[in-house]
Amino acid sequence: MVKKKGGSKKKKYESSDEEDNTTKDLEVETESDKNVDEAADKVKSLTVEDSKPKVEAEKQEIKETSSSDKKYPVSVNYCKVCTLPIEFCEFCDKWVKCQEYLAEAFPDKLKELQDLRENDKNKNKVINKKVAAEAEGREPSGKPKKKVEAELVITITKRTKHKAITTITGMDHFGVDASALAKTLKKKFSSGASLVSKPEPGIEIQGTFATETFEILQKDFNVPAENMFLVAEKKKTKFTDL
Amino acid sequence: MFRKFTQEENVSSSTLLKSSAQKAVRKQILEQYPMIEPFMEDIIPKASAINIAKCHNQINFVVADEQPHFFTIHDGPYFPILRLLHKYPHMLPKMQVDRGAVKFVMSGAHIMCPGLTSAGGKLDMSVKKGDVVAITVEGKEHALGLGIAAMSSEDIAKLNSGIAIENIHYLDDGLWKLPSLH
Ligand SMILES: [Zn+2]
Repeated sequence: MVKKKGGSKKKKYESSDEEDNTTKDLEVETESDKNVDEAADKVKSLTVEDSKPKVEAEKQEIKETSSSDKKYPVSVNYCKVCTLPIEFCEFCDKWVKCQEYLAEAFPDKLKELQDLRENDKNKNKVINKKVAAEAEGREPSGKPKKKVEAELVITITKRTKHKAITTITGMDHFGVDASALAKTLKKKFSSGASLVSKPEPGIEIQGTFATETFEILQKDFNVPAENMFLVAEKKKTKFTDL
Repeated sequence: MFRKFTQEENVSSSTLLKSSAQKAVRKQILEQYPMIEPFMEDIIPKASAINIAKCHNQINFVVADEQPHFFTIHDGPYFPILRLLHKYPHMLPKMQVDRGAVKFVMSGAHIMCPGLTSAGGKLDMSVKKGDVVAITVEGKEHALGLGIAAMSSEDIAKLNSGIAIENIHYLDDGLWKLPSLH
């Protein structure tokens, strides 16, 4: 059984423990279909090994599982427009048409999905405002600020048809030590990573590692996601907009 | 794996199995997914003949009544078709990604650790490297996709970097769009 760890992870471990139990109970249930005596023996042997309250709890769960078995097969509402389960319409490319269909068939779900999308938009707006303000050299509040190019740029450059180089620049704005980062990336990608000084100070890695580098910078070096940009095929995109 | 998939382009042959081989396939599927035994008559009825549709990249489909139900890659474990997983979600352990990861998964990207360890993600700690897993999404009931764990949940939580789940089959990919196989 998984040992619970303290702190913020605790909740995750607990919930996965619950799922773990459910799977076991299902197995017990299937077996009891085939051989009731065997299952009864199992419960008996559990009584010997484990404390009484736990066995009672398990018995109860077994009972619950057999009644909940009727929940299969799960009936799924698929969208007549995009074919996905309707809860995924918000992510499909036919969203405009899906909304017409949902308005008729599942108005409550439509409202829920629209709210979710609105929520995402607002989140992005806050981030965009902040970045736009910084780009113009202002604090998000509107006050002028000393101009800082707070951008970390990851560039993919094609060398030949099959070879590419990933270049990272601007990490010094975020207090990231270039040689420490190069070392980490070298290890993670088992690829050559070298410090370069021209045209600007940065790191070059053999291969295409944009997303991976982005995630390492975000998680291990605390560079804010909204300050990182990807340059590929002459296009510059914020990683959060990918 | 199935970003683009059509019968004409990808299926190279389809063979009706001998009845002994059909039995063997059913047995193998139930060994891997014992929890669907009570529902097997709904999934692949005994009266239905099983065809194996062979594709490029060593992918084999288990086809009955012109519908693909399971597939294997390089003779590895059986994967259910996503619509089948939706009906019987207890077939696979669930690995939950945050909302932000959905568009990446739906464009075929593998699942990176941070997508599972962020506030919206959730790990099934029983998952070991190589397990077939369902990819679910925070706040959503039905699976977004399925894949193979590239590392154990314990390592995902501990290392928190790199590919966590290899994306095999996801909503709206070529296999999802395939109407039937014969
Ligand atoms: Zn739709």
